[in-house]
Amino acid sequence: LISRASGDRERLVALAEAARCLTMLERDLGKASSLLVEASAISERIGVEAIAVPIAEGLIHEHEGRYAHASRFFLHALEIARRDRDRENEFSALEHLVTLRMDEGNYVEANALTVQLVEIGEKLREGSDAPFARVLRALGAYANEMGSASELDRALAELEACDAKHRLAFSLSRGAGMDLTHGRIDMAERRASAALRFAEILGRPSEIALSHCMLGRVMIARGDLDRAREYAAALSGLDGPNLSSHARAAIGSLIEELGSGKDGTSHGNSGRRKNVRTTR
Amino acid sequence: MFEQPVDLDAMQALEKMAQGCMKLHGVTFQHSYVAPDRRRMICIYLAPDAEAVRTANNTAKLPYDRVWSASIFKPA
Repeated sequence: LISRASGDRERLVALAEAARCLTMLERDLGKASSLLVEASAISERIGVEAIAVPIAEGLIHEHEGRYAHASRFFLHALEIARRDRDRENEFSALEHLVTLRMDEGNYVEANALTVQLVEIGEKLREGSDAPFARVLRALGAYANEMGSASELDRALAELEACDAKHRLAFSLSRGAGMDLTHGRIDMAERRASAALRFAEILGRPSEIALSHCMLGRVMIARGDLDRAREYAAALSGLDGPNLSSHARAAIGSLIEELGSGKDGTSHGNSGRRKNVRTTR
Repeated sequence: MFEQPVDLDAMQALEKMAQGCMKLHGVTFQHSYVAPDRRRMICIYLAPDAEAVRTANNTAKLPYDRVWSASIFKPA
């Protein structure tokens, strides 16, 4: 896409979108950063903003655990999207803000943003945006015990029908954490196992790690420390440099809770594929 | 559905532009079925999930109405 882009504006968009793709997928973040440097230089020179630049910058900062910086970039992206009446990217910027707030544990702010996210999602075309917004709303309610596990299940079933596995993995692993807080250990295991399955299909290292950590915590809650250690051991085969700060922190606390080091079992990745159709 | 008959060369050029993005998302374009009036089209991809196809199509600005997952059914 980049090599084919001729003019400055096209090259800027191509560089920024490629960086956004790499950061979303947690692949080669060094390359994503260098694409962003080039994109920012073009942007400054021609006086044009590409919304994918602040989104990708935000994702890189979030990945490294610099949440305040990430927030600033996502808010800037939101401003650009609203100015340009670009609903898809408005949704995208808000979605990143909501999930960031959730991972910070700030559900009050996440829930306030989710109200806007649901509204925008309803106006977008068919896809997983509106169902994901409703799942985030259900997660926020469940976190505050204002919503039930069955409401979350219903929202998740709707999202699953759209086949958006990364959004599912995120929602299921965070939902599992809440199940554990509410003492619903079997439910937490069911959700974390599903999250792991989805994350493995996509090969997303941080979500794989977070699901393993959640399953490890489930086993600790059950008092099954041997199985908890098996989950911790599986983490050592993951792609360390591409793990987010959030995932690294989760691994750290699981290891600490277990009171032992990792013991080196490798971790498999089943990259299953299936037919997907688009209708044009 | 297209309001005007689709320009297949233009569509192919967009598909080619999108190849890098599709590859990153694990999406492989297989083939398309085009109606005789070129106003309807179904494209078949191999992908880890439907969302990967949506994301790649959105990034490349490829027009579409909907994306869904499917398995192959053959009469016995």
